[in-house]
Amino acid sequence: MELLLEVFLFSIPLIILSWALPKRFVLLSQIIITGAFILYKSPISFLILTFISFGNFYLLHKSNLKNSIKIGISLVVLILLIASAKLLFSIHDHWIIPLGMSYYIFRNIHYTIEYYKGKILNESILFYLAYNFFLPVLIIGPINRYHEFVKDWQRRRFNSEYFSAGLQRILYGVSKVMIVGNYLLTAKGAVFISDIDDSHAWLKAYLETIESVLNAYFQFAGYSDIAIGISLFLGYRIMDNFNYPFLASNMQEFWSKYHMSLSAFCRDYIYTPIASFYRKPLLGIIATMIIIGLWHEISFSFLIWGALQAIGIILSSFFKASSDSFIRKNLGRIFVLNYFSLSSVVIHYDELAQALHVYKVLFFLN
Amino acid sequence: MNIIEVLERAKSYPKRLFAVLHDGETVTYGDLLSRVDKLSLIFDGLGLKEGDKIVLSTNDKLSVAEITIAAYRYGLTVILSDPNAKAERMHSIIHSATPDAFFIDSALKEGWRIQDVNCIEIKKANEGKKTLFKKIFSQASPSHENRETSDHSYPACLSVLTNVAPKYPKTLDPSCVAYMMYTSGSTSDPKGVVISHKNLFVHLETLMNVYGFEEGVNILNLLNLYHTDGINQGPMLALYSGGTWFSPFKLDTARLDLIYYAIYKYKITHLFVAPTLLSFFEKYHENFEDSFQTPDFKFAISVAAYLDERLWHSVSTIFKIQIVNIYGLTETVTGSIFCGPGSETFKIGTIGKPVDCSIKIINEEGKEVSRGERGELLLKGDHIMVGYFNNPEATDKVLIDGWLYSGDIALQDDEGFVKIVGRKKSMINSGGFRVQPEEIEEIMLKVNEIDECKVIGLPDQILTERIVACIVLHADVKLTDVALFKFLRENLEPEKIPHEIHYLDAFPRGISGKVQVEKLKSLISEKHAGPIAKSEKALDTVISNAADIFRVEQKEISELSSTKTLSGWDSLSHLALITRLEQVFNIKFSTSDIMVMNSINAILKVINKKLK
Repeated sequence: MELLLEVFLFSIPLIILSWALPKRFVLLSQIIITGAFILYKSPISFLILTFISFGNFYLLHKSNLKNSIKIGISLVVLILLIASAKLLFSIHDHWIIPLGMSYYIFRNIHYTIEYYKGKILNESILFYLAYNFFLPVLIIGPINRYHEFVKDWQRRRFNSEYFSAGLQRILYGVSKVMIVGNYLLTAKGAVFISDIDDSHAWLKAYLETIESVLNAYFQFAGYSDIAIGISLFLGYRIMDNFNYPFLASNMQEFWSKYHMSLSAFCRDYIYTPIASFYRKPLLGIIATMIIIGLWHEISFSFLIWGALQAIGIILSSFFKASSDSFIRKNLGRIFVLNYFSLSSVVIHYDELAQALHVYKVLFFLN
Repeated sequence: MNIIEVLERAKSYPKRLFAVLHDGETVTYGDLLSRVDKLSLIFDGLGLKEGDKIVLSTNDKLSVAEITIAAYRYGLTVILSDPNAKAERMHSIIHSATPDAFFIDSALKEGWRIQDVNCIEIKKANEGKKTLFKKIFSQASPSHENRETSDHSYPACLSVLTNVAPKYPKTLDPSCVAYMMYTSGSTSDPKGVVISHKNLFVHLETLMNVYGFEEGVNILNLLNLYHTDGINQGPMLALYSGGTWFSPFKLDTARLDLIYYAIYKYKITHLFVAPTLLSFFEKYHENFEDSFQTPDFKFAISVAAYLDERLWHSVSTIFKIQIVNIYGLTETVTGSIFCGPGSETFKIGTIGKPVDCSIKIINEEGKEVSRGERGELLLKGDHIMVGYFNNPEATDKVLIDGWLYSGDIALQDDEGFVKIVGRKKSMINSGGFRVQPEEIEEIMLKVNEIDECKVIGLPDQILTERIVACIVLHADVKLTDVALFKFLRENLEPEKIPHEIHYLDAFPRGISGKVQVEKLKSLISEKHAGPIAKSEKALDTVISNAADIFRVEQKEISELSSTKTLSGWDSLSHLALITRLEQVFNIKFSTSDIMVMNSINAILKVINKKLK
């Protein structure tokens, strides 16, 4: 909550200056305010992001190395950085990994690969810094794309519709976080569940499982709405991160609607290269989902979680071609909610043994 | 409405924007009216009177618009002359038109060797860009010397005029000539299209009605202001409809992103384009497909050249927009026959139906043909030009009993839609410019080494037609392309320079000894048929395999289909297609190849590279 308030606090001067200053100073003001925010919240993250921004830009655009070497260095450094950070700072140790790092490393990997594909049309250190130092999406995404960011900047104008849409998104976001997540699910729902008599162990475990998944979803979707809302206030349309994922009727569809910016990133930069290199789509799916798991945290639990998502998607491909009847669709939805919730049990507990215990309860193995 | 009424109406909205130009320079209707008033005093000072002619030629877009409008109000005839015109052509125009004054860029005065005393030089100072310090330290008033020169330079000459009553006639005769445009004809026989106030304003009314213009239209028109679609469908149409004309940057096919950005940024409602630009849109649209999906945008209007049916469909589909087509000639102000925006006149592949004019299609004997039969298209209406200036012979050839002979071969289908199927005249339509081949031939024949020359237009995907020069050299002489192009660049406007030059031993001739143009065309086309056919075969193979894998009809896929525009092209089927193509072509794609292969075009490129 504190972090959210601070983001709002820094966003106010950001928004005012972005419309009050002459256009040529706007990006600079965004970079400075965002820089000040990270420096205040997480000096180490500020140092890393500054290093990456200047280093990657210099490497790709200014150095005289061969293209393949440039790309190689850039990707190796970025991947090493994120992997070592994930190994050093684990969520369960109550360490916070350098603020926003998971997101900005992926943004930079995206930039490097697009550069390799020859798709970076507007190379400018100012754009690049502004893309990296963009407060609304810095902490919890979405992993927005560079060309979309530049496009929105180039065509940016004062648009009152963006303001009303932005305000609406922020209100939705705050409601999801505060009312649905914090109040209904955590304060009321969790208390209700914990009050259930222990003689109904299965029901209790099941409801807890569903509650934690829905809570995580509403919190995350809420923060994404806020990020998109603040961006709209600044005149940028940032890609959506969730599109009613629990209305999906199979796991493949679910992953095209859940944390969309991450899943689209992984589709473009992990699935496609791996699947095409080995000519094996299944391998691509498994590798992609495991990396999505490890992106959250490098641990055995997340490895299993990723593998379970892959299995879910592969299973769904068997049912894909069959008819789309009303009953089938809704059965599919029930399956998706349960499959995702049950597969997520493995990441809800610090110890794998605890998760195993819950599984035993849920599957009547006690 | 005539020019007087239009300007009178504009007085009610002085704060509204008339134009948005380079570097965000904005001009309100109030600014425009004030300049029109002041210009009347400048015209008066030059001793000009109603009916006199002025040559207007400058690279400054705003000056073109405001001087033209002011001249109309004063009753002057504007000879709109492209600043790219070469001195020789200009001299022939000046000789033919006998202008009374010049409003031209300083550089042109030298380049065209204009001696006339009645010459105002257009010089734009960057006043707006003065820094704060320069403003503080610059002299408060211009020195006496500066004032002397400012009398003959525009817009500096306006700054000395404050609070003086304008001097222009109270009424204007509708038959008074508004402008003359020298579009075609050779140097020895220039043809200046004469358009009267009646022609112009009647047609502006038609345009406004057809497009359904309401208050607050924002027109993006970057076309050349010395061509009718630039000036008349840009600043003039904005003025007539009380809208705003946007031309905030130079048209540059390498910077299409500027156009895409502008649609949202400036709340553009209507975009005017030539088909050539649309083919660039078709080629370069990745990540810009949503550019026209704004609450304000209505439709694009294709002008100046024939719009190919395939291109029409393709661009409409990619951007999800309606493209309205307008058919007309310089001789008809701009239009006559409109395809869209209303559904009753909209049929892709045709030029639609005539509005505010009559048409007929006649055969060689001069008889009107029945529906479905081909013949020459004739047009009649209040917007048809007065004639060619001082050239009754040329006028009589095309204007008979009020009917304008368009030179285009057309047919009318059962529902009344008109379709252009060929051309009678030798005119080449290249990149939105109408080019008279005789004019190029005349220049080419000045090269000593050239014995004979024939310029033809051949179909081209991007340019509509490309200009091809076929030449026969004198015996035992040599001519290099470099030397020839150097000469052509010095003597022809950029849009008239041939795209290809072919050296032949002799031209195919008929019994009468006349060059057989059609035979020459097929001769040259055959020369180029080889490589195109090969790549077309690869394209067919890719498309048929893609259609099979994506489970869509073959006709739904074109060279420009991409993962973004084609349903069924998801990441799984992508891989299936790649694997299939590897087998079919017996090649192997690398991972990096596959990552960029996200459109049929990109796939073809990679395949062609591999096959080499």
